[in-house]
Amino acid sequence: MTMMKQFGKAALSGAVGITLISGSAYAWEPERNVEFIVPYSAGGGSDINARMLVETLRQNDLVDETILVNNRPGGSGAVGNSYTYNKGDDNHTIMTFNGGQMMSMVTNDANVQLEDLTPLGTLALDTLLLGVAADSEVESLEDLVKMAEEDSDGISIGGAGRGGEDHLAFAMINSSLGADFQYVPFGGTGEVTSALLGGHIDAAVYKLGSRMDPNQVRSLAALSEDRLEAPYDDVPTFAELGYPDIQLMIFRGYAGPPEMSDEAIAYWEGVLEQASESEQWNADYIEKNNLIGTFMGAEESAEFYGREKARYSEKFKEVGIIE
Amino acid sequence: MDILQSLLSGFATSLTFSNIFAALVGAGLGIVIGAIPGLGSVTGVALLLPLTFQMDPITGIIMLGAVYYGCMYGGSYSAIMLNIPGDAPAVVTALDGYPLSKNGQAGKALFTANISSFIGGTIGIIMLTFMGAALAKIGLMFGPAEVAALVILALCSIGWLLGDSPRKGLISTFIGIMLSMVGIGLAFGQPRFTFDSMYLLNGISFIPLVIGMFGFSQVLEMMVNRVDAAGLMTKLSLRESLLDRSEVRRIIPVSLRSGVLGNLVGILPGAGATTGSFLAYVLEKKVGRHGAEMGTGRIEGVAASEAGNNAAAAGSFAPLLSLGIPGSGTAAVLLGGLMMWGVQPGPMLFQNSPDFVWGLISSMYLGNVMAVLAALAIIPFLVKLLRVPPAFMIPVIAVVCVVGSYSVNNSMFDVWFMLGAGVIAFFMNVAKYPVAPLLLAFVLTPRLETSLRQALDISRGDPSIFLGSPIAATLLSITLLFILYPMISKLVKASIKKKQLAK
Amino acid sequence: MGIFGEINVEVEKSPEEDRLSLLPALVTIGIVVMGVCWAAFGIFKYGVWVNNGPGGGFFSAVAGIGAASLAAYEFFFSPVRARPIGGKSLWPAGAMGLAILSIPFLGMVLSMSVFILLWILVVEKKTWRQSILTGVGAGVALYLLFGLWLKVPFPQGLLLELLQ
Repeated sequence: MTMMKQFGKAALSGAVGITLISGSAYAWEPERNVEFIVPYSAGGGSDINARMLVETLRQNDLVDETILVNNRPGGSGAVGNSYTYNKGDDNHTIMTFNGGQMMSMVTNDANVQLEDLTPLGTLALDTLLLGVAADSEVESLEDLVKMAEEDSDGISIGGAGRGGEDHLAFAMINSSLGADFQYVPFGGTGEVTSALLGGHIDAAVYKLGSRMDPNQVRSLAALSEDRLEAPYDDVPTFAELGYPDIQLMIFRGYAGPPEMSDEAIAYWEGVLEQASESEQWNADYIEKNNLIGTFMGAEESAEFYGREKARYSEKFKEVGIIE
Repeated sequence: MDILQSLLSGFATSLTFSNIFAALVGAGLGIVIGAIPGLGSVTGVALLLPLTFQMDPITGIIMLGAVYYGCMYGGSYSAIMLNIPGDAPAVVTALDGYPLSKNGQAGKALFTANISSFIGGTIGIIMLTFMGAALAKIGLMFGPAEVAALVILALCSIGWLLGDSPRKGLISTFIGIMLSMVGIGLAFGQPRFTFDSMYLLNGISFIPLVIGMFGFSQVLEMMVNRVDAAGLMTKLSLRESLLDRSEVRRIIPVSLRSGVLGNLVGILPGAGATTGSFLAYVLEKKVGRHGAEMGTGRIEGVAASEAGNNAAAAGSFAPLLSLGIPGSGTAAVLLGGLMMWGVQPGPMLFQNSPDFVWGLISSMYLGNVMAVLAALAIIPFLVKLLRVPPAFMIPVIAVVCVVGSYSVNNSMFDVWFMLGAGVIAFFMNVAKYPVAPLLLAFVLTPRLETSLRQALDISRGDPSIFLGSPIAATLLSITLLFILYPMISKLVKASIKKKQLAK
Repeated sequence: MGIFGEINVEVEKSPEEDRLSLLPALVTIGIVVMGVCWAAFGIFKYGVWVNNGPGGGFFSAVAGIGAASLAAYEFFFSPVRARPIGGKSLWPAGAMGLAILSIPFLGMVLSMSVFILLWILVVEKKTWRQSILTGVGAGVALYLLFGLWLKVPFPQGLLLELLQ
């Protein structure tokens, strides 16, 4: 019965081969409860990501043992990173790992760095947009630059946090456009939106995943590699507008402790791949959170993270956030 | 009339047996979670969110709404009974709640807290129902400059809570400001006073600080001074705990005033329930008939704080529903829930999914009623719990402090921090430094710093941004008036005296 | 308030209070030290005035100077008022400190149960029966409420790991 059900689901997602041999294909499998570290508080983006993944794994019978989510917030991710790092060679510990977490490693010069963790895979990507209030006179990026040149008071651009994704996106925009914009950090995208709609700031950067309402906020340009899907399909990318340097894809991936065994890495990679193909993950997580679904394996993720990290520190240095 | 009709149809969808049952269960769970120090409504809603995915969306949101209200009710229990505020707004509740408890009037304080929570919450929901969109627009008028002015007003009014030694109260306020500077502030991004510890990078965690300063210092206090502990033991019958008619009459006007004020503060971006309950308390202290005695154990103080923070909580839903902007931490978690159900909050929400919105709003009425019923049913049990002799109470409270501070961030660092804060607060108590101003300054100062810096970044350093905005200018003039008023009245009195002497 | 209040207090001062007024003086000195430290860091490291506005050290400097000067005034000019209290009153904190230290070995639930048990037995001098009942009862309640229902990841402790 379960076999049939699994077969049906697998057939739907087009990954028959993998599902049929699941259970016996791995050289290592969990023997006890798995600890799933979330380095942020309950209810945040990483927490939702972890809990949805656990739900997907459970409902599709991908992992036999129980997975317990363990929130270890603090130090912009540093506490969770170091907790996972101290697990040494424990194959039963995994952790959510995202772009913001890696940025705070860079900006805070944290003790535990990317090299001290084992990337396992990446299931989702997010990107950022630059926008103005829907009732603003600014219709395009060009208008905004023109306005910046004319207005002696300057243009203020709001974003969530300092030294994070939004700030980095701002830094890229500001240096490539050669404009003298002013970054104004807020406590969260909610506060940015209020300030934008209330006319207190001129423009804002925000993540695709924050699902900004197109009726309220007019997006001028996206930092994505390709055009986004509806309702943002009429928003040009910065590359299209002639600024290929302004590009930022934020990853949502997973990592393990530094000395995780190769067999365990292969196991988690396989499990993540199956999750990424499941209908539930795509419908309930990717779509509802407005993210871009993807799958990168352990090695590919490690390479991607390393490249991005170098780019982050370069950009942060360029704008003087770090020395 | 249109709104009433929509609301009634909302009730028609929400008032089914399974929904009422979900609301009751949610309210009960919420009260338990809220009453545990260290766990608040954000945790409660986040923990139960996955559970509701299996339900019908309306039932799910009703349950979460009820959990939310339950947490708000439960939060006042530990503040009143043990002097351990479970969250920031409850610090204000403890100011009068715990002294009442010490005088053997815990039952009255609990009833007052619940009744005024109910009144405040109801005012908030009614305002949300009929003026939600308008309120949200008012909220938008508050940019960084306006919020900064509001927080300055709130900070200055700490002056009225300084207690019998203003100098020591002021010192305590300054310590609160110093502690709040620890960590990477949003405004500057530089790590300050972290002593290279990653645990301090995000600043001092508020709940462990509060549990230590109020709760654990209380344990030390009780051991030294068993007379105080005996106060907890006072035999209370349920009848003595009930409010009599004159007491009900005392708290109703207070709750109404505080409810309206709290609701207005709640809709402002980033102002939060603490500012709401605190400003309501301060207002009551200034305009109330028994304002001067507040802080020594007056039910008016409990009423003002609780009505204020429940109304503010309802207020934070206005920007969520009409603009899709979460006004508080809990609202942000709920927003996650809404999106999971495929509901896109925003200005189109009322048009696109009216069933859902009006179901949600009617569920808030339902949640509030269920929470007050569940809470009132629990009070007799709580009152009995207070009869447990201190020999058993004290070690259990000490353990609750440890477990509560651990549960916030699952961190042993927080447990040690709590212990240290408890010892220091005990020393401060002995040396007669009041602790409440410290905690309020701790909550308010980072908000002021952030808003000030944001405003000046926007204006590129031009301070006229504070005077150019009518709202900010008005708030600042009120502040100035409050500060100058005592001096002016002294001068006037002195000149009258002179005249009399001259005669 | 003012001069009269302070004179009154001096009259009330009992010999016992006089002997034990050391602690409040220490608190006051501690506040002066903290204030000076915060002010110094605020002024020299974080910056008081940046870009035409309060800098990262503004509030630390203001609060530090304010606290230090008021506390210094308190120390020199205001008679110390304190309730009689001895250093012994801190032992509950010490006992709890020991209990917390035992958490990595016994685990959160067991450590706290033992703490309650020993407290009631040794400090409150109740019977074994009462102590064990309360200690075990509290442990079970902690486990059910936090561990099982709320899924708070308590430290398990070496003991439990060895048993597994």
